[in-house]
Amino acid sequence: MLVAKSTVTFHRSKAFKATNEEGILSMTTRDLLGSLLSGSILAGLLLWSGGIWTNSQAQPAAKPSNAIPDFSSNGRTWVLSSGTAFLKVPGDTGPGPIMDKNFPGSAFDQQRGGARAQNRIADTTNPILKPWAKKLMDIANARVAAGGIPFVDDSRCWLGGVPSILLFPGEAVVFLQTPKEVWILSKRDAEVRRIYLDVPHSKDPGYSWTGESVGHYENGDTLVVDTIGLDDQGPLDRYRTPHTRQLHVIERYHLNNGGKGIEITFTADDPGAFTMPWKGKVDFKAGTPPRSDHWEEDICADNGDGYGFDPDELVPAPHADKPEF
Amino acid sequence: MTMDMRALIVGGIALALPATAIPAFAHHSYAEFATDKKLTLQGTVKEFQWTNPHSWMLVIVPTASGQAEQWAIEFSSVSLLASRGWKPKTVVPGDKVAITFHPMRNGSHAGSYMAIKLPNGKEMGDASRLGTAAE
Amino acid sequence: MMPEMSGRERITRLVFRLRARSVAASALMVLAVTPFSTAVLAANTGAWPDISGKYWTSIYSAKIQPVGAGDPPYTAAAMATYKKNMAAVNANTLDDKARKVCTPDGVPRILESPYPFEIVQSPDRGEIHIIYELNHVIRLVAMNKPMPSADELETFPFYSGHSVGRWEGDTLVIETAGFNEKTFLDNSGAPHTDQLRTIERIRKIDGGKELEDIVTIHDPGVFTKDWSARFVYQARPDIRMMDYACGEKHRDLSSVKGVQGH
Repeated sequence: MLVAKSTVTFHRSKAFKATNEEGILSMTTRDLLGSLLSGSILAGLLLWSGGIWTNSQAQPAAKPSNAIPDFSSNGRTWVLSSGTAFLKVPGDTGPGPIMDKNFPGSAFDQQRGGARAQNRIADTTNPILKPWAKKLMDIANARVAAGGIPFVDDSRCWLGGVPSILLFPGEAVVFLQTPKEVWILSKRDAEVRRIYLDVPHSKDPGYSWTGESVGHYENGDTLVVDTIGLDDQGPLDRYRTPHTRQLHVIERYHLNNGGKGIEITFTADDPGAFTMPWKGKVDFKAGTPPRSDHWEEDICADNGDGYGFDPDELVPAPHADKPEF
Repeated sequence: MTMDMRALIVGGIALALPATAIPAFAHHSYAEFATDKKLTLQGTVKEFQWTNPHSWMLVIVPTASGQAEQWAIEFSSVSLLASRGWKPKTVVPGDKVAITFHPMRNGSHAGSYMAIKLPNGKEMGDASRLGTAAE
Repeated sequence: MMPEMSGRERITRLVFRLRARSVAASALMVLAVTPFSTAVLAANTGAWPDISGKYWTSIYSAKIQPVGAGDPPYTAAAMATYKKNMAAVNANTLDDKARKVCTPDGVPRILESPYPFEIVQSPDRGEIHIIYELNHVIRLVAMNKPMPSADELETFPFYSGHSVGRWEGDTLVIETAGFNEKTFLDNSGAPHTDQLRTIERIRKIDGGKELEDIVTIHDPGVFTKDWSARFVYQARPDIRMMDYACGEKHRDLSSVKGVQGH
């Protein structure tokens, strides 16, 4: 048999509707391939009869090794759908991310109103924390429990780090894809992450809020992003979990649900802050009206400070003391 | 100006109690609003900030003793407001309004918008609705 | 004279031709049914000219210079405001949120930024993004779409305005309107109103080594007539864009002539 039966999957495109929603070959394409294959069979028979046999006769269109998951086309936007705290990765036998002491295993945002806890108290019994990190977080917890307002990066106009930017809620995230680079744009305060494809890390990337991200595609449905060079300025999540410059994050953006969802799982490895690598995840879904289904300007510094708030109680928003140029 | 992470984690939290109002840009919990209460005040608009993720109206309200106090009322996002017929200049500084809102639990001069009566008599919003804040 | 081919040789040649055709056909089929891959690969070479990439000016001027000589054609009232602003800039008392808390500069002020920017073309989205390193400003250009209605522009005023674009030959034409009034026209404190509309004509020049942006400025609220300014940037594929966090140390600008106070 010259031809192996295979299900060939392709992703959607406006330009050429070869496939249905699930990316399975449509009837027309199957027919075309069928006629191609008959030609191949004929060629194979001729080869056989000529006593010359090669393996390089025409192959059916196998799954292309350069298949690229489509996070970008048709103006699509994405929005966080799993709540503003990292979740445990299903099947992960490790300790998982820092979760809420008062609402173990549930997304913080689902607890609203009434007499429930108003601000996050981290469960610092998680064995990933080194003693110094646990100590800092316990002090922070105590202050929040006593009524203080905890620091959250995007509420004070600070840049999101990695992976904390995954937790920006409610607003559109946009992917731009070219052969060499992927951009992840967050509508919230117009933040940009850049992922350089199919190149190694620099020898000396320095340190910054978003670090240096390199990546590649896998399985035709996943973007893998490897990030180092993360400065240690901001907490890693909304539980004020600290990290050091040794932090190394590997994210896997897995396009699922027929291209309508992204499951983002990550491994965080920081021997300076954590006793072991740990995994967490969030889910994105297609953006919804009125806020996350399109791009608009959303500039944090446009907002005045909290009214009635004592300025001393707030971490200052980023500002320049004198004009830079 | 860089902030040390430790300062953000630990020092970013007030020692003074209680929290007096809501950070303007926070996706804060609505537990801070008394969503089972409402308050209506008459005053003069000082400013209407048409911004994301929350628009804000600053209203100057005279007190019984003749002082003026500023109340800050939080609205929803620009897209949602626009879908309900609001425009950036639906109210302008100097407008006299009656505004109904869920006050903060801790008594500070801020709240979450429910309804408003504009100078031309037009009423917007829903003053009868208790429950979750406008969004 | 060519030796007579054996039957086997004849068949072999036939088969090779058939096979080559089949291989080519199946290669085409592979490409045809991996449209997104093709679209991505062809992102910058398909129907759109390619002006994507990173650019960085080598000269800086706080005051936008009109093409030709002289000053922008201010009305008398606008000139009075401008003089006040200029004095405040010199005294460092101007309330300039773009430099203080890093709100977006607006257009055309962002065009004179001494920091790099990049153009990303996304034909699969019908969009071009211009992403500036300064204050991480993102301008979205909706390609081949009409300008939003006056009502929409009034309801959703942006620092960077709303941009629609189209190609005219090798030139990207961007029309922008719906600006808020929270920005200055340039770094010298020049004023503008929400009537501001700009038209930019952007193309590669000098064999692709440079990018030119000619911007026409229309604002009857402050100007007696339209006028234009011209910006030229060097193509810089050798650099990487960097984070920008307000108040922190940023990249070395010593390669940009005319930048002071850095």
